[in-house]
Amino acid sequence: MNASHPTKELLISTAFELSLTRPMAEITSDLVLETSGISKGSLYHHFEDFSDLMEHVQVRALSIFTDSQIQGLQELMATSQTKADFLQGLRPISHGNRSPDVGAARLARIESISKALSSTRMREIKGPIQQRITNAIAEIFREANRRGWANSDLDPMAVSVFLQSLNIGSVVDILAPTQVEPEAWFTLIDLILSEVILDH
Amino acid sequence: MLSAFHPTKKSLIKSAIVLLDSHPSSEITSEQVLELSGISKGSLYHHFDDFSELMEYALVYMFSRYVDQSIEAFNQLLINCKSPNDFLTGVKEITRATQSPAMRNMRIVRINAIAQAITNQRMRNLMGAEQGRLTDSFTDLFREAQEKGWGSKKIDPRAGAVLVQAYTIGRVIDDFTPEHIEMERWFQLVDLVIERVLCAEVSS
Repeated sequence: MNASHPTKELLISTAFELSLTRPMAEITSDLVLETSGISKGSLYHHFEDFSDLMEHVQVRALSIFTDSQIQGLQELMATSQTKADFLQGLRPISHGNRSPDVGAARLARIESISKALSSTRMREIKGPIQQRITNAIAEIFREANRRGWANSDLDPMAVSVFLQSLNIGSVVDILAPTQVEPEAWFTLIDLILSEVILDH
Repeated sequence: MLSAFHPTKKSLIKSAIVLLDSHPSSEITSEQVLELSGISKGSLYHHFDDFSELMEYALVYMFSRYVDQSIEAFNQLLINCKSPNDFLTGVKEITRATQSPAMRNMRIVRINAIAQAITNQRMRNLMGAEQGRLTDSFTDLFREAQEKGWGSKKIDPRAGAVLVQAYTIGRVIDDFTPEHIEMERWFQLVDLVIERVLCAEVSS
């Protein structure tokens, strides 16, 4: 997903790196120009405006997230010998790490989804990338079904959307003044995995 | 809750919510809200710092007003149902209503409002307080269901409260993809989660 021109690519990768350590809203054009050493004129040659650059950054973030998720899932299938291995490996994916860092990443993901929902252009770019994640997770459950590890009555696509929705939707807990105890959340997700999704 | 506000403030928020039903928030002007509510400009700026603050209230309360309907429905269910099976059927029915295709727009409004709250501290405070109230209400309902022996005691009530909200809002992940999951297959999964996890003691 590298942009063709090296200057354009450097601007995107610089802004992307910056986005890993601070909220998107704190990234200014001055900061990106200073960090990359690229001139203002070049920025506006390659991008319509600064928000155009930041859209490219969001798409980059989504692509990288997607690739790492898919790779993780394929490794999980390749290394799981038993249903117990599979359940164990699914935990980190479905629990969602609940550290503050990941809270920030989840908020960034919400911002990115919001943009995809409100702009046709962003939906056309991000929709197919999101579809790749949904399909890849569904494919893992299809394979788990073939191995007799999952509930074959369920639709793998619905399972895929459900597991992702828990991760995205738990943003409501980040916003609230009091949070669920992580252990209580993990217990609940484990019950869903063992009693519903992997039951057969 | 909206009912706690001064009548003028409440009326302004309600009028803005009515407009939000048919217009994106960016297209709504203070003139429209004033005309619809019949309230003076001076009163608006007495109750809100600026027009954006009124729209923030409207976005937050538009959603919570709708969640409050589900909370009320659960409340009625707890009062009226006679058997564990009644309860299970009732929970599935209420859930179906919250996941209906008509609610897609509500889900999107909610995600957009959350995204706005991420960069706007004033809105985040407002939304955080409302979100806390909603989760507390669901937590109380879950606890009450546990006491009646209808909700699974294996589950922390607050975790259950977040779960039902999470899959309702998080399904937005399927709203911007080229393909969409089948509603019936989604309900099949959600029903099973309700039956085997949230109300586990009922079926066993």
